[in-house]
Amino acid sequence: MSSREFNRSLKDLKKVASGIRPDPAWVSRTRSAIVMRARKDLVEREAISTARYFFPSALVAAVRGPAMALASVVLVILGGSIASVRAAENSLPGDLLYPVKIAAEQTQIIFAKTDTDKLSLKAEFVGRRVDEMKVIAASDTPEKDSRIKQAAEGLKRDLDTVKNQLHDVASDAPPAQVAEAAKLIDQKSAELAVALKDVKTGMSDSAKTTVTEAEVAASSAGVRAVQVLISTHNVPEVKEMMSDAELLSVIQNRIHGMETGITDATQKILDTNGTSTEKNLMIGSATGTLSVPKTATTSTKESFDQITSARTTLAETKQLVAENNLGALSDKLSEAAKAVATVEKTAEELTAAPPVCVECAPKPLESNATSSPSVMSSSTNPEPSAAPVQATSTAPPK
Amino acid sequence: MPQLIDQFLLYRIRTKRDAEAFGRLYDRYAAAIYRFVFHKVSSPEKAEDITSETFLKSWEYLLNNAEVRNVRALFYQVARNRVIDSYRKKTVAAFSIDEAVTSSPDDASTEVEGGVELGQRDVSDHSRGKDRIEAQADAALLLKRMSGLKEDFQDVLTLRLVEGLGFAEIAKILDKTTGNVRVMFHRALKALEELK
Repeated sequence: MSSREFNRSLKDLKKVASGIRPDPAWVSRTRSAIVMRARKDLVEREAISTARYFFPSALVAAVRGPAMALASVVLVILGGSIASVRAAENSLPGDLLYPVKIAAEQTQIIFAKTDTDKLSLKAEFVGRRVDEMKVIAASDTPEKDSRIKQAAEGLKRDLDTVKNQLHDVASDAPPAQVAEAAKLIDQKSAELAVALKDVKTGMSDSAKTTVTEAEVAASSAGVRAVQVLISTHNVPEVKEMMSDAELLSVIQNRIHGMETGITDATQKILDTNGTSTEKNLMIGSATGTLSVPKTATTSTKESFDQITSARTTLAETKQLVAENNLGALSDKLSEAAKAVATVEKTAEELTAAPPVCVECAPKPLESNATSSPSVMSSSTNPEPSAAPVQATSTAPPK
Repeated sequence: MPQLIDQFLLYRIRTKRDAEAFGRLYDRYAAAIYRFVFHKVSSPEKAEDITSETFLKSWEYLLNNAEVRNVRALFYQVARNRVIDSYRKKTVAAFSIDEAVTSSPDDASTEVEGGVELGQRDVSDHSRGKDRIEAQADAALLLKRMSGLKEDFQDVLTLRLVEGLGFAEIAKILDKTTGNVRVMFHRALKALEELK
């Protein structure tokens, strides 16, 4: 870079640097937490100065204990924020007090001592978001879908943060702590994936899409957790905490989750194609390839390509597990998770807007899984195969 | 003028017990402090944590200390100390600054009081023609290179060139004289130019 270019670049520095901006959602959450804390502190000050007015210093010296107790009582009475937080504990997305609940959580995170503590708290709060979604899903509120959508968006955001922070913590904190946090996140993300699937039943398509995004984020955070567990597994303290067999089980569970994801997504794609799929589709073979129907639309063909690709990647992942090649497995897991996420998103999109096929007469799908032995991706129709990938497996791995 | 607004908000906090006034101070400086911290830690999550801590620590300071002449300088000072603390605790993981500059999150632009805009990461809007793009690419490269400079040099360049602060204010933040800061700025520029 010449001096002239250097000087010109300096002028642009401000413009370029201004591109670095915090996440607006984080800015807003932190603001609520900080203002709440400020409000609480100011109320405390007010209470203490009031107490001093009524109890001069000589008297205070004599009755300091009771005075402090009284001040505490005053504080609790005046501290509307404390009452608000209590009241907000059971609030749900869309409720008036819900931002208070989020701000209270944010405050807890800010005051956590270590980064791993912060991460564990975040993982715990992520669980709360799912509980909220369950409560809303079970309720009869008129804005059910929009509230679930709001909760799912928050959940996705939190899961992305958890995933990124796990990466940061992994490079900074002691390996045993990191592994502990990763284990928790793996466990939570697996629970989340199951819970989110249940929540989706009976929801509108747009809300389902948002929940699917949250599912993908959960899977992605889980894969990151498994990667961290793999990378720290050579450390003796971590080995004491988690045996080789346990790690293998964690990896297999993760792969099983992805297989279930592909199976479900494939079934959805089949459903959107009606009878034509029954006649023409040949899904599942030893190599995990698909035969695309002649009448399939472009979007359907693309989705079949995605399924094939995802299954191939998953087969490679399983192969690496069999070879105990943990080094290469880490990257392959991530690749497989991305491929499965793509299939799941496509399935959701196709379900929301099914492809139009003029040659296909709409027909109920119950025959898909039973009448056609060639359609193997149905969870109800497991087909024995020597293939490395069996998208039909529904039993949890040991 | 900006300092006048800060002083007014400080007055509201102290005399009117107005917690929202601190919220407005946060609105004014959250993005700038985040950016300042991000240049040093190069991790969005860590920058978020340190920025939150900065405002909480500053709040405690404002609450307990009588005289604060320059609120903005206080925020930067606290942020700088928090970053140093985090360096002491651990080595920060590497993160590409390019990624942060060019990545595009769901960019709903949010106008916040005091002229702090949030949510606009896309720098391509500014580019007009090939020269502009090249100049901005060079600027991004310079930003990246800045992390190779020593801490004080990074601070003085960021505060001056990115945040546009005056030498007197930078001197307050870095706890040095104005003359010192001027000299340091020119040395930092030279060091940056030589880092090719």
